[in-house]
Amino acid sequence: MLFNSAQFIFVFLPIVLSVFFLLGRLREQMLAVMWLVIASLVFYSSDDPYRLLPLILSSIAFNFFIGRMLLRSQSRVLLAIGVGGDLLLLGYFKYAGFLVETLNAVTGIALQNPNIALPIGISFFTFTQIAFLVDAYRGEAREYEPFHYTLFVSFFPHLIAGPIYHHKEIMPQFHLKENFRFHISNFGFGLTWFALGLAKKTLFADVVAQYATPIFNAAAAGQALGLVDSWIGVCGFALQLYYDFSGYSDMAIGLALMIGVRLPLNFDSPYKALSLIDFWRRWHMTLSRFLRDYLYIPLGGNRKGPRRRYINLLVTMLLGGLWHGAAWTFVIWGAIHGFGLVVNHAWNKVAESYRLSLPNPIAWGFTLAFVMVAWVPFRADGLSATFTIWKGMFGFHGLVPAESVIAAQVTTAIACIAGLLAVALFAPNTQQLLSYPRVILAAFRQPIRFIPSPRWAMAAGIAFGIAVSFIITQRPTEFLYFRF
Amino acid sequence: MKSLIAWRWYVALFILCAGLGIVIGGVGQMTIDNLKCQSTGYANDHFLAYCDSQRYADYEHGALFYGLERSAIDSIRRAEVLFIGNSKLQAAFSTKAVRDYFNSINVRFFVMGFGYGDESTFSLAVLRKWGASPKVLVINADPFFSDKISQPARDALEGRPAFLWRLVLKLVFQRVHRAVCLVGSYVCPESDPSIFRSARDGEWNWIGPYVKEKSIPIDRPAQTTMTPEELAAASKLGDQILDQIGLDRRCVVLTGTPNSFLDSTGIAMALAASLRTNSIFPPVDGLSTLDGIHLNLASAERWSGQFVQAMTSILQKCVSPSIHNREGVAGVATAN
Repeated sequence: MLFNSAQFIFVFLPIVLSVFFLLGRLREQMLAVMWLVIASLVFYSSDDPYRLLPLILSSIAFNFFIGRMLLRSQSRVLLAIGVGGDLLLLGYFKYAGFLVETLNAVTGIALQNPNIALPIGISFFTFTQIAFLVDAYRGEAREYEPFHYTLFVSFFPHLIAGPIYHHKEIMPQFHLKENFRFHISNFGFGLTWFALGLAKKTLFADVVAQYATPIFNAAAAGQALGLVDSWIGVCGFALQLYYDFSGYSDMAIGLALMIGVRLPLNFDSPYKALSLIDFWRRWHMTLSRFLRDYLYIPLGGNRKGPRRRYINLLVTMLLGGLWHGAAWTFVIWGAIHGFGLVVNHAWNKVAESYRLSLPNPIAWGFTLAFVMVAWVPFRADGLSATFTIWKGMFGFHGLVPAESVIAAQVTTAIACIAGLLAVALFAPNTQQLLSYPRVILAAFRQPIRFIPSPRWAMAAGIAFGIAVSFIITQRPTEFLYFRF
Repeated sequence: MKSLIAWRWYVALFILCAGLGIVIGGVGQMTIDNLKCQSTGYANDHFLAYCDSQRYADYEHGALFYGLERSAIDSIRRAEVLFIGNSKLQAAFSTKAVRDYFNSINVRFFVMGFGYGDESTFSLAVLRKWGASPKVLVINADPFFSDKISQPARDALEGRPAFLWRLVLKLVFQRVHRAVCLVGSYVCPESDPSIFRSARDGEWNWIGPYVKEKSIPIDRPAQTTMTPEELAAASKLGDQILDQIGLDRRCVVLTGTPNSFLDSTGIAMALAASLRTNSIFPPVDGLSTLDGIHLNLASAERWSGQFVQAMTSILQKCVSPSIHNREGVAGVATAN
C-alpha cells in the first residue's frame, strides 16, 4: 500500500487511528499494540500477502529469538549467526540474480538467472534488525514482548522505506501511556508533516519526473544526448529523488507523530551542503548513521590511521552503494562517493595544515556538481546509459543535438527545475518550518515557526487537498526508494 | 486550554481547506490538461460531451446516467419521441431537419444515442433511471439489442468514487473552460477534437468541432450482415427489452442508418419483422458518409428529413391525432 494513495489516506489510516485510540481509551494498551501490528502487516503485505507475510514474519521471529538469546549471553557466534542469517536472506532475494549474471559474464558459463522478485522493504527491515542484534550484543537493547518487537520492525510508517531507527530510540515510545491517547496537538502536528510530505511527493517529485524520466529512457535506448538534455535529466532526477524520498520521510514522520511516536529525521536540506562530508550528514541521515555505527566504526573507523580510514570509507560507501541495488551502477555510485569522501577528508587535512578554505559558493557549487554527476549511475539503466549521459553532460554530443528528447518542453523543464532547485536551496526544510521538538506534546508551547494558526491551517490544508486531488485523478506513483 | 482550542480550530480548518484544495487542485489540473479542447460549441444548452484528450475523453455517459446535466435529464423525461442507438444514430439524426420538423409539429424529442458503439444495455439503464416514458421510440437497430457495453458505459454503471470524482471535475471544468476561453481566447489552442451535445434535444454538434465535413459516397451495397443465429439472439433480447419498456409495438420504429460497411437496413428490417414493430427506411439516393460509417451532415439532413416526414402517421397514432403530414413520403413499413 502506498502512503500517497486514496485507499491509504481515506480508508486505512482513519480506521487504524480510530481503533488504536479507542483501544487506548479503554486502557487496552497491549491490544492497541497488537492492532498496530496487524495493521502494519496488512499495510506491508496487501499486494502479495502469501509471499510477503511469511517472509517478514519469519525474519522477525528469527531475529527476535536470536536477539533474546544475545541479551542473555552476548555471544559473538550468536551475533554472527543472526547477522549472517539476515544477510543470507537479503543476499538471496536481492543479490542472487546479480551474482549469477556477474559469474556468467566473468567466467563465460551460463548459469540460469533465478529471477527472484525483490520483496518490498526487505533492505530496510533487514538493516533495522541487524542494528537490533548488534545493539542486543552490545547490551544496548532491552528485552521486549514479541508483539512489541514485531511492532518495532513492522511499524507501518517506517517499514517500507525507513527512516531506519534504533531499537532504543523507538521501543520506549511504544510503552508511553500518553501515546495511546488521542491528542489533537499530536494529530494536527503529524497531519501537517504528512501534508507537506505528500505535497513534496505529488506536486514536486512527480511533476519534475516527467522531464527526467524520458531523458534517462532515451539514454537507455542508446540515443546520444546533448548537453542541455543531459543536465535537465540529471538535475531533474536529483530533485525528483530528493523530493520523493524526503517527502516520503516527512510522511512517515507525520504518521508516527499522529500517535505521538517520534521517528528520527532523514533529510536536512542536502543540496545546501558545502562539502561531500556535509552532504552525507544531510542525505538519508538514518542510513548514514547505520553505515557509520554498524560498518565504518566496526571496520576501525578513523582509529587506525589515515590510510586505513580511507580504505574503511571506500568499503563503507561501496557496500552502501550495493545496499541500494544489485547492479554495477550502484557499485560505481558508491565508489564515486567513497572516493569523493576520501578526497574531501584529505583536503580537510591539507586545508587545516595550510589554513586554506574555499569560499562557500565555490564549495557549494563543487559539491552540488559532484553529487549531480554521481547521481547518473544511480539512476541510469546500465553502464552504457551512464556513460551516454556523462558524455552528454560534458558536451561530447554538442549543446542540443538534432533529436532533442524534450525539445518542445525545454523552457518549461528549465523553469520547473530552477523553481524546485530554488526551493531546495533557499527555502527552510520541513523540520525548520514546523520544528521537531523533543517532546511532541509540548510542540504548541514552543513553536519555532509553526503555530496552529488559521494561516497555517489554510496553507497546509490547501497543499494537502491539491496533492490529494492529483492522487485521485491520476494513478499514485511509487516512491523511488521502494525498489531498494 | 487555549492551546487545545487553537489546535481544534487548526485541525478543523485544515480539513475544510483540504476539501477546498481537492476541488481547486482537481479543477486546476483538469483545466490545464484539457485546455486544448474546443470551446466554440458551448452554448447555454450545449455541454462538452466528448473531448479527444486523455484526461477528459467521454463525459456524456456519466453525465446522463448520474444526472449532472439537469436540463438534459428533464428533456429525456419529457421527450415524446426518443431516438436511441449508437453514434451512427447521432450522426444521422443530429440535423436541422429533425429539429425543424419536431418544432413545427410541437412534439418534444431527444436524440439519445451514445458513442463508443454502445448498444441497448446502457441506453436502457439511462431510460430506466430517469423514468423516461416516450410515446414513440426510434431505434437504430443494427442490431442495438445486444449486451455489448463500452468502457465509459461500464465505468458509469459501476460508479466507482474515482470515476464520479472525475465526472464532477469535468462538469466544473466546462464552466471554467468556457470562461477562460471567452476572456483569454489566446490561451485556448482549440486543437483537440470535441463533441458538444444539446441538453434540449440531445443532438450532437460535431461537424466542425470534432470532424470536418467529408463526402465518401455510399456507392456499393454493404457487405457485412448478421448470421441467422445472431439475428435470433438479438430478436430474443429485443423482445424482452420491448416488453420491459411496455410501449405499444406500433409506436416503436426500427431503422438502420445507411453506411458502407454494415447492412444496417437489412438487419433492422429483419428485426422489425420479427419484433412486429414499425420500421422506416427512407429511399434516399446519393448518400455519403464521413468515414464509411457515419452519414455526413448533408446526407444526414436529407435522410433524416425524409425519415421524420415518414414518421407522421406513427406520431398521429401514438402522440396526437392532430399532427398533420406536410408532404407525403414513402418508406414506411407498417406494423405487423
